[in-house]
Amino acid sequence: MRRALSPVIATVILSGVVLAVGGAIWSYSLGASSVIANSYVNDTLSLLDEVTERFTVEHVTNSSDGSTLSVWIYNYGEPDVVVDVYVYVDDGGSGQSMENLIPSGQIVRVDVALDQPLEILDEVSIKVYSRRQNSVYETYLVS
Amino acid sequence: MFMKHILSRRGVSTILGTLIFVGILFSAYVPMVLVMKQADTIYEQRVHAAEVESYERELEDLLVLAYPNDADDTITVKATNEASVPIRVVRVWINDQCNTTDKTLMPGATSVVDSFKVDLSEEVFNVKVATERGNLFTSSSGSLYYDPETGYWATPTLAICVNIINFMGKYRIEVAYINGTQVGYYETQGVEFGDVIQTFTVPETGVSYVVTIQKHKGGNWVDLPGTPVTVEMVYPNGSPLVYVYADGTEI
Repeated sequence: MRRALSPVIATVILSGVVLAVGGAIWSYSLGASSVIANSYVNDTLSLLDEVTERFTVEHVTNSSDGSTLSVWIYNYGEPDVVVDVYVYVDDGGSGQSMENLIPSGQIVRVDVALDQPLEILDEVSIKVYSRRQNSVYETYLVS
Repeated sequence: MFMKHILSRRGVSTILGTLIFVGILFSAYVPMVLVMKQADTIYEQRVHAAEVESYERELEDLLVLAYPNDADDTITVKATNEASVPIRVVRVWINDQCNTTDKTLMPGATSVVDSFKVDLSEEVFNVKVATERGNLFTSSSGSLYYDPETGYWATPTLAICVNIINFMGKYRIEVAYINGTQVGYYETQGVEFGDVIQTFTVPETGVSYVVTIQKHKGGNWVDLPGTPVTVEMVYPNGSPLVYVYADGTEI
C-alpha cells in the first residue's frame, strides 16, 4: 500500500497549520481584547464623568436695558462641563447660549441675548443643560 | 513507544492547540478582565467619593451676617459655621458684585470673612456667600439700606421672637431689661389651642433682656421650664432677630 506522506512530514504540516491558525486566532484575540478593554474603560470613565458632574447657577442678573440676561454658573465637580443655557420669559420672550465651557472649580458668566427686552417683575425660567445630560433649573424675577 | 506517541499527528496538534488556548487565555482574556475590573474599581471609588461630597454639601450650614461700616463705605461679612464639616467660603456676592475670597471656617467657628467696598449709589445691598461645595447662603440680617440723602445706613428693627409650643393653655410673656424695666408684654386673650408666636421689638442692641413666659394653671401663673431666660442682643455681631422657644406642654 502506497502512502503519500510519511507520518513525520504529515505531523510537521499539521503542526504548522495548527500553529498558523492558532497564531492568527491568538493575534486576533489580543487585538480584540485590547479594543474591548479600551472601549469598556472609556465608557466607564465617560459614565463616571456624567455621574460626578456638578454645577449650579450661582447668580443671575439682567442688563439695564433688559436685552441680556447674565447667568453665573459654578462648576463644583471634577470634570469640565459644557453647557447650553436656555432662557424663557413668562411673557413669551426667550434666548439661548450654546456650548459654554465651565472648567472644574471655576465660575463662568454666560450672557444670553433675549429676543424681547425684559421688564420689571418678569419671571424668567433658566434651564442649564450639560452635554452629559445633566440639568439645573433656576427662576429669576426681574427687579 | 514514546517517539510513536510524540509523532502521533492528533496528539501533537492537541498539545499545540491546548498551548495556544492557554496562551490566549492568559495573554488576552485575563488582562482584559483585569483592566475591566480595575475600571470598575475606579468607578466605584469615584462615585463613592462624589456621594460623600454631596452628603457634605447637604450638611453645610452657614449663618451669615452682613453689616455696614460708616467709616469707609464697606460692608463687613461675618459667618458662623453651624455644620459639622469645615466650610470654605470662596465668593461673596454683594448685589451683582462678585468678590473672590478664601476663608475656611471650622465647625462652630465664627469669623469675619472680609470687608468689601461698595458703590453707595446702589442704595440697597443684598449679600450672599458662596461655598466651595456650591452652596449659597444669604445674609440673615436681610438687605442693607443706605440713604444717600442723609448719608446713613438704615439699621434693621431689633426684635425678640417668642415661640411657645402649645396644645392648650393661656400664656403671658414679658420682655424686660435686666433691671426689670419692662420692654414688652403680651397675654393671650383666652385659651389657645395651637402654638403661640409673639414678636417684641426691642429698643437697643448691646444689652441683655430677660424673657419670662408663664402659663395659667390652677388659678396661678406658673413659669414655663427654662424661663425666665436672658437673651443678648448683639447686632451687628449677631442677628437682629433673636428667637426664644419654650415648651408649654410640660405643665
